[in-house]
Amino acid sequence: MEKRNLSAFQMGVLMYPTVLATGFLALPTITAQSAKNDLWLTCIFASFIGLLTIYMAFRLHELYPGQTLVQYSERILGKLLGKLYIFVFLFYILNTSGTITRQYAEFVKGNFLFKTPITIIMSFMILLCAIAVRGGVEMLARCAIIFTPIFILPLFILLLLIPDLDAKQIFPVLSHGLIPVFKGSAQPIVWMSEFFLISFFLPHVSDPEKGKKWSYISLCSVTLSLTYVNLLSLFLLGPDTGNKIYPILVAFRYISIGNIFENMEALLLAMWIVGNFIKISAFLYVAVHSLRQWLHLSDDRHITFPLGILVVVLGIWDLPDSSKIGENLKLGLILIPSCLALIPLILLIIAVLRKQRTTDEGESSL
Amino acid sequence: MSMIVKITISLVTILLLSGCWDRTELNDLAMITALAFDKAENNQIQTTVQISIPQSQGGGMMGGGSGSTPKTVTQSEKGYDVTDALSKLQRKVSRKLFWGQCKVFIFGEEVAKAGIREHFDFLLRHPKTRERAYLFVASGKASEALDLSPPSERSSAEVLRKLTELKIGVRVTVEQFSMMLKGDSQAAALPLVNILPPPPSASNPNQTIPFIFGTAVFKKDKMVGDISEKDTRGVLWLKNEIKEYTITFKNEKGEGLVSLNPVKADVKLLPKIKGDKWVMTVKVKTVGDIVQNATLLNPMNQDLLRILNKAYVKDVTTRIQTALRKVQHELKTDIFNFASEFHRKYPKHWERSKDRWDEIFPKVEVNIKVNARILRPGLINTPGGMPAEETIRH
Amino acid sequence: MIRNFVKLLRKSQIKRHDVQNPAIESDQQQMLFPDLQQNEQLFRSIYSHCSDVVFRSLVIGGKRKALIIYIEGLTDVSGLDEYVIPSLMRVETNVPLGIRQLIEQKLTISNFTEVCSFAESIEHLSTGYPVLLYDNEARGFALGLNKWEKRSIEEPSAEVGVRGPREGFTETLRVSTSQIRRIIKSPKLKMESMKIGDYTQTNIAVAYIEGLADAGLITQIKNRLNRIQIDGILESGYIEEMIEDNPYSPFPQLLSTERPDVVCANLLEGRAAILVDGTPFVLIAPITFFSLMQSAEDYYQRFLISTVIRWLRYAFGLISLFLPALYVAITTFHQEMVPSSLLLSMAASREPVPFPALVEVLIMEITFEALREAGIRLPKQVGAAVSIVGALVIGQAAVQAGLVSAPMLIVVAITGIASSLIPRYAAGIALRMMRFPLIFLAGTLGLLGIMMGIIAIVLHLCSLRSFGVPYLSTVATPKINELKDVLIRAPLWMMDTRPHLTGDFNEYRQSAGLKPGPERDGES
Repeated sequence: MEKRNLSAFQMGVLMYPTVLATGFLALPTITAQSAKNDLWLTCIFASFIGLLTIYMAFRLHELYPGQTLVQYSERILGKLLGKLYIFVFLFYILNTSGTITRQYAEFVKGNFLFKTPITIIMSFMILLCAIAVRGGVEMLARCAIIFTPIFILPLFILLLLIPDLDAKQIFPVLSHGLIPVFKGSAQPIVWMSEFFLISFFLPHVSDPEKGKKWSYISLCSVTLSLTYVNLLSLFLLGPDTGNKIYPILVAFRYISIGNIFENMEALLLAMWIVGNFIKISAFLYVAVHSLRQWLHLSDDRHITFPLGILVVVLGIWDLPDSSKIGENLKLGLILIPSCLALIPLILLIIAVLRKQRTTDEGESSL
Repeated sequence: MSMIVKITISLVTILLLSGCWDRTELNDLAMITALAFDKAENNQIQTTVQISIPQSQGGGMMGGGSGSTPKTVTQSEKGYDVTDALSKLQRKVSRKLFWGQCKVFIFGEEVAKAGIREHFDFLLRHPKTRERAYLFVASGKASEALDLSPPSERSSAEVLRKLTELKIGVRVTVEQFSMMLKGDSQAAALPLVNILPPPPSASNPNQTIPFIFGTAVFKKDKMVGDISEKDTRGVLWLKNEIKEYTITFKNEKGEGLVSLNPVKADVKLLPKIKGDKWVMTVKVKTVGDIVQNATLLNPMNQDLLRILNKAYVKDVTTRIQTALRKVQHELKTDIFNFASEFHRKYPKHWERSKDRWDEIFPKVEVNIKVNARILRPGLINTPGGMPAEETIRH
Repeated sequence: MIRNFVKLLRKSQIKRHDVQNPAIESDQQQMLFPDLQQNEQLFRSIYSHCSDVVFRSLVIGGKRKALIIYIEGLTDVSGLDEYVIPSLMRVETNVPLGIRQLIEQKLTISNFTEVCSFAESIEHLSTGYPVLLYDNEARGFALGLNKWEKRSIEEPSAEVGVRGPREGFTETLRVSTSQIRRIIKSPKLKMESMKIGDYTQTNIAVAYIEGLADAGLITQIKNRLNRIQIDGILESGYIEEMIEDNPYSPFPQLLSTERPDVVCANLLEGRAAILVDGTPFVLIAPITFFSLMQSAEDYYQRFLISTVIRWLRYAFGLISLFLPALYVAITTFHQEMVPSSLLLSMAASREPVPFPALVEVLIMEITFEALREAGIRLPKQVGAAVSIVGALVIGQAAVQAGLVSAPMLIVVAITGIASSLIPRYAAGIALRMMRFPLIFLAGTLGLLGIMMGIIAIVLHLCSLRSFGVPYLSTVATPKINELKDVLIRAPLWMMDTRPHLTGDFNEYRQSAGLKPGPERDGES
């Protein structure tokens, strides 16, 4: 039984940078390419999937209290199938962690540190994340509470752009209908389904009743932030939004107040690093604990650093250039929601049916 | 814990041993303040950079350079495209080219007429060039503007930047230009740069400034013509960029000119499509204070003020009409972005007709409705410098 | 393979020492002899070559022999002269009194203790109590007449403030405990004492308020103190290093203070204080990081002023940590962040300097640290001159010689000033120390390096504990009630709950609704 020393508030705060760290950078441009100037609606639609995943995570936790996905998938699907599913899941998590680290390092290297080898950037980050994961989930949560305000700060600094924004870019609304918006929502769904990682933190939460409230609040803030960033990029860049690789970076580079506060993108870098630290640590934590529970190991401290090295390797392997990452993301459209949303949904349905059956049998045997 | 400490220490020493990759000392940077594109033979592009010299700008202890020492240095080089030219240019400059403070990009007239798409791609794609830099077109060769050493500012690029920020002409940043070309109208306007003739007392013919005079009109990425300073003012009205302006107009009934400053204007473009007719109503709401009154009218009188207001309205309308005549009918380029207005209000219509916008635009009927008011008469009421009896009071 | 590597790195083994020369010989454990002669002989041999131990033999009532042993300098000799020896010598001959009744009836002193063994006698002798031995009695009496030269109560030099009491602790334990007792008069203030240190037998007192401090905490403190086996305790710093949770951390996990009001404020919040004889610095446990950033004066001034000054302190604490590293990172990696006119003048002033920014900063920082330390060691008059004049003149000369640039000098000066704002010296030094790794990281990886450094520091702080209380507990596990004392300084009438440390706690310290105002008292 895990120790229950996380508070629901900490878990909610932890999920915010976990979902958003790469979301801020990559999402506005992808959604702009499909939905053009209706891109701000895409996140709202995607958040429904987020609601679904949170609901699933909590329901599964209620059915199997104190257990994580690894443990109850064995009970739901049976030993063999469960272990197989967790193997796939583990592979997905490691691969995603590698891609996320690579995305983060690509952003840093492509825009700021041109000559630094990308392996160094990735390894340094993974080293710090591995140390955080070794400290346990409460260390992760405490760091999250301290770093999330630093992560949110750039959103307010972006308000300095108000003189340069043109709100009329939002028109015409829905001129092409809702279909492009739905097509554009496909990508944010990938990010929103990451909310399912809550199921790995729930066994540690000391007040799970409040957990639901804080998770929904977290989801709302994520959606709001994404919509805000999308709107801001739209107002600033107009039809050019889909053309930029990192619209929020362009927004930051555009800030100029009185010729003194200019060229602030280094601040964006600084603040974004801490958000990514939380995200990669969360994924690494999930990976480490999945592996540990899958193999029934007693202690996870020995596998943390090796898994970290594996993540760095997976971040470099098969991703020779930046455009391959974009392509992989398109493939990820299928893999990620299925791992995090579809299959848990199936698990939930089976679990509920089983529960029904046992209660029916229990009643009938009385 | 101690193991982690030791591993971290060894990692840090590894970092230091292998050296820092991206480090550039401040004194190894050449601060570029402006970049000019000119056409060279063989279809090559000639790039000229203006580099700031820190020694002569420097801190108080160094002793500032007097007017005679040059504060900037220019270098130029030819290449097949901009990046090629710049890399060749680095050979001529002993420090690393640093783009962080480059706020001025000037295209020569020939380059502009030939099409700036490929050079503009460099400005957008390169991670170091600023999107907030201002774009200009030079009448003639662009590099001439960079050779000047203005008496009052650090560099001629600084002069151009400050002049642009005074908002007396069209202001276009790299990002805005990109948006204009990607938008519905696919047309843009850039300010035109001329060189002020130096005063006869100057020792050096280079002791003058570049200044903004007129606008260059672009259709897609090619320059199709330029507008005079007078027409530019009308263009500014239509683009709703009048923030602090001076207007001088003639009073209808009599002699004398009236000048208003500051003039603020709020311009709304209201599109309407009636069947096959595309109509754009330009609703102008403008206010101003009188600073010079050469007429005999007393602006504190309501009836006389109404006369002055009517003259004001007429003047604004005339300005806008002149601009429209030149841009809409002669150059046939939609630099006012009527296209987006139509798109936003009538998206379905727009989808059907957007390919024919080049034909539709010159035929768009423009109604100008001006609501102009003179708010304040300044510090005096009756016209100054003459006895009160001779002024017209009602 | 990693395990072998780890074994290569790790060399620590718990060594067991054989105690060669124990501080207390085994034969001292034995009881006092009834024969006075034997006692005297053994005492003389124990205290051989100790010229300050005085043996005064007397005859009481003309018949019974007695011996007073005392250590000169530790004993109140005038008290002996006035109260003990005359009253003993005036006892009548024929009164057959045992030594106890003798002392109870005839000796006019306020305090005495019975001792039965040599070890006990030595213990009392060394604290200055003269020991009275009587012939044919296998016990002696230690008389409560200790007095020695001590420093008078002065203003603590390291913790000066504008408003507040100006008393500080002194080196004598009893005086320090009396100062605490004067402030907290409740009998619930408990002071448990113990002796630590084989040769020094230093008196340690653990003070806490019963009912406010968690019993588990006190037990933990006492266990840790009892675990210490050391030659001598000279200062509370020894104790601090021996009972910390995390000895490798640069951050202190116990607060050390010289002021009684600080100690009492912490006792009232449920913490425990450890007083050590021989030093005016008292330790307080458990603490959080924010205790280190608070000064007592915060609570004596009005809340708006204190809030602003607190924010200033936090800001400058961060500045003292990050400013040099930020300067290095921005001037070598992210030059575009600097406004262009400043950039040009900075470049101009750096033209004559031969060193890269990283080396320049390191030179100046190390020099400045050296100047600071020198300023502390030198006598007061010279010290002030050296630190101010030294800094100015050396800095100016260095700039003119072209060794450093003027902007860099300003950065170093501001950093120096900033680190003086932190009220606790130990925390200030910790932050100052961590500047240097950050400068290295900034010089190699720019802002990325600084952020990595920040993450590493925060990771370390998150894992620190002070007697079970997480170091960043108020912020990292947010408790709304406590945040109002950390982020701002809430008005006194709003702070009605105590901070929760560990275990049980007594929640309310004042009644709610104490906000003052004329409408409360019925005035209009």
